[in-house]
Amino acid sequence: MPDLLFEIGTEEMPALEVPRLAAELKAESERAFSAAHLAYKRVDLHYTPRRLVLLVRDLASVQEDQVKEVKGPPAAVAFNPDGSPTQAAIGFAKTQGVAVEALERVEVENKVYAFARQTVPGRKAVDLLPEILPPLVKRLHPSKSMRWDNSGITFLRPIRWLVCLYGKEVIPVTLGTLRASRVTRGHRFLEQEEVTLESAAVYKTALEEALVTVDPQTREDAVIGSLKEAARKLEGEYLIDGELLGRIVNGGEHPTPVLGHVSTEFINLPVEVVQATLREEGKFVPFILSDGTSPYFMGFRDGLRDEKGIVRAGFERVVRARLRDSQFFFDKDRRCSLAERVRELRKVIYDVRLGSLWDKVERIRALAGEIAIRTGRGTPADVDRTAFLCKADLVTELVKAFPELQGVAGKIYARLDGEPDTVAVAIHEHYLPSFSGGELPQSDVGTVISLADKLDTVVGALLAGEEPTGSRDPYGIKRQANGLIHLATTKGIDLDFFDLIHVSQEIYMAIEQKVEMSNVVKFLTERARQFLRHYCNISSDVIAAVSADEVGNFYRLLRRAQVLTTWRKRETFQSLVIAFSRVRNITKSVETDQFDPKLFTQEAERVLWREYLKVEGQLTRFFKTGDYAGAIERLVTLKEPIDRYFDDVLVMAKEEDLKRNRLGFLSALAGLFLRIGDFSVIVTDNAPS
Amino acid sequence: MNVQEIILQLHNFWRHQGCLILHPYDVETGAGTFNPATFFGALGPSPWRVGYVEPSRRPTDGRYGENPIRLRLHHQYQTVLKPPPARIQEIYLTSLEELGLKLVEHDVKFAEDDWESPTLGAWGVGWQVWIDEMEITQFTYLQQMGGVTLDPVSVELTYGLERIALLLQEKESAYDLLWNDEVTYKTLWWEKERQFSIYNFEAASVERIQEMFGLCAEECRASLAVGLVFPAYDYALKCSHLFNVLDARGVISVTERESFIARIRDLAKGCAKGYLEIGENVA
Repeated sequence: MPDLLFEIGTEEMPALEVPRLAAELKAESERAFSAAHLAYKRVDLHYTPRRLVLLVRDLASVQEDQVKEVKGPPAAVAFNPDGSPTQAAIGFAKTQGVAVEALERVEVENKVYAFARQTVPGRKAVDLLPEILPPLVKRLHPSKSMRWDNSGITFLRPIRWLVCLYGKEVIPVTLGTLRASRVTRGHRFLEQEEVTLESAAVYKTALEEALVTVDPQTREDAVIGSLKEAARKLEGEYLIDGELLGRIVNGGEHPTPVLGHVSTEFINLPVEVVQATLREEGKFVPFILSDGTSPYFMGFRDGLRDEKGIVRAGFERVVRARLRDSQFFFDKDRRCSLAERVRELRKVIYDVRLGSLWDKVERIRALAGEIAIRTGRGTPADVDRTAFLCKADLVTELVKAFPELQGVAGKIYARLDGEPDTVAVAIHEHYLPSFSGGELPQSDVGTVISLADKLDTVVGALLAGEEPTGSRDPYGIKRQANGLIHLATTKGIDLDFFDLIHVSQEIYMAIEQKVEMSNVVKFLTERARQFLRHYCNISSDVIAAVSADEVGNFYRLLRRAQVLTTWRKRETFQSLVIAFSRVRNITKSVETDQFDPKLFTQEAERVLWREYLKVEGQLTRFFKTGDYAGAIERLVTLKEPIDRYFDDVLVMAKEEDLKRNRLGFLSALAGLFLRIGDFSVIVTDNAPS
Repeated sequence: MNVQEIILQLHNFWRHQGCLILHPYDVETGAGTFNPATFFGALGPSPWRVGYVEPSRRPTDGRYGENPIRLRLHHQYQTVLKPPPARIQEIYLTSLEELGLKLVEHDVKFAEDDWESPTLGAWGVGWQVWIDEMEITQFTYLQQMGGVTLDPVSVELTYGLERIALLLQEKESAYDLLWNDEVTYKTLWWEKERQFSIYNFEAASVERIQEMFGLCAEECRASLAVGLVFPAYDYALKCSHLFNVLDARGVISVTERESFIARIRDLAKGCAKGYLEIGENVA
């Protein structure tokens, strides 16, 4: 069976978006073909920045026949007792276009009806395609749509031509003012740009001859192949990320490598700056050699090999000009030290409500100092020096030009200024993790400053009334909070951040607080819950159990959740949950946990009380070290005495004082469990739901 | 080809495409888009084709004359075609060929760059055109101007004249360019770059510029109130330039920037709205 070619020719689409749109087009077409009962072998996906292409292999030329059944009047109405058709049946058969003799009797829900059944012969693919293909375009979701003429069509970029061939036959598909033909376009800079296709089957070869590689994988293999080859010759490595690769592979129809050299005049420019300059706007791929320098780069020309070296000379000229720009920034920055630059932070408003960047630095210093003392991480001198310097590079020219160098520039300048290396490294690290799941600080000082900075960003923004709503989150505080929690849990920061916020309240005194500090606590608690759910795969009942109360020690929060996740599968735990639930349910609205053992009247009460005292003492030790598994093991020993207590003791005694005393005691007992979590909300297999 | 020949060649090329050949505006602008020939020309339904040079002032781009390609004032060649011809990309590439660029020997890319001017309340969809990875043109299908959705849309081609001259003259520094065959770019512009850089980065009086900004904004609003959109627009342009100077002086914070831009945008929107109310025919 013939292949179908449908090519949507456009002006250059954004490199990073083409793959997604092409995948959408493929999925939509598969859906449409199966809805139309058109059989095919497979859909090959091809695209370049100038075309989205469906190549449907072995598309059936005719739709599968379809059986159409229509329910008519009830048999009792349609047929006379002698079986002959009534007027109703004759009318129904006529409207359905079947002979009245052909009507069938079919039972539907205990009632028999007249049915018209007929086989509708499948329509031809050539007739169906003009109906199926154009709507596909409208079903795509470009990130941004534009208009270019008055046809009413909108798309990512103007659509300029259509090709539609079924085998050798042109299918007259129309879209806006365009009508499909067999004429496609080859590479833009060929003398003869138009290419007439004899059939769908020759598409790939014909375009390859016209210097267009329509298969993205082929382009990617070629790009990676030339990078590897060059790296091998240079005895170095190439530095590329997915985004840069995507820009190259989908930024042209025929990417061809051009190796360039970085002029030696930039030998003193830090290698990070050279690399950032090369990578700017996704243009060039830097190589790093074994001596740590980056003297070569590779660019990709869209077209033929650069035989005359004209493109290479052009690339090198652009790189030289850009590096001179970077050199200008670097030299200008070096006129004063990072420490001197801190002064300028007073003039830069961080936020009108939250003051200058200097104010932020002061808050970071206060918080970082407190975190360092409480966790014993980093020396106070290094922590304070790093906090003092950590934002200074934001007013450097280099960071203004290359925002992605924030922190990196600070590290470079701090080293050149002769700051301690611990400080230089931590200046860089305090921005980590820079994206969800990204690399974390390695050093203690970097960790402390990172925590302090993120905490301040979150608290400050919330106090100023910037609670994120929907997609609006100008300070990115959801991400900042996730980074904070990720860092605290991974690094085992045994610190209650809510406690820290409360004792540090005075550092936010200068801010006109739009919301209560309790909103901050609520926000962070919710982020912590989300973190447990999405990053640690903790089930929602365990999360509910451990975070019923607001919990600012994220590290312990995760530990408790993990221990409960392990324990919940054990049978002993399940019976403990039942026992605890009895305690919990009866004390839910009890406000005191005071009791007097002298008022106990029953043996079961005293037994439980003695066990309680024993376990309480041991638990204090376990909680101190965060050994929650050990703590649960101790709690398990309370199961028997609790069960016995409820068998023997009437908690809701008639005597008011006995009743109050018992409830107080049970509250205290519940309190032991609640320090790990509210066991009663954990779903266990044999627990009552 | 020297700079003035490039300009004449472009005038000639676009004249044959039916463009009116106009002149730079005589109020400071940051780009050719700010020239009323584009701002107002793009509004309304009537066809419009225009070409002109626009000296574009961008105080923060100043480098004291020390950087070979980054300039406080660069020259744009701006064309606007409303509605856009279907083969506008090819027409544009032909204009480059006519400047003497053999495109087949170079790398030519249309790299995504959706242009936006928050101060003008304008945006469009298009590219930067890169020759051998050097940006030489901003190519935009304008979709909105002064907050008004354009119908029909316009295509705006903004050539960076210095960049193109660098390519054609195979020079690495704009200051080495020949304006005509005797006079260099350096003779014409270097001292101005140096002085304006000092002024914009160091010397401009923040207090007075801020005061001027306030006065110009006031004058713009007052003119709008009595239906004088063209005088109002001149003052909106002045506000935009004064804001750029303050920005170069480094006294505008991130949030202040937002509010400054919003103020200017409101003025520009007022001008666009007023213009359409008067009816473009009167204009």
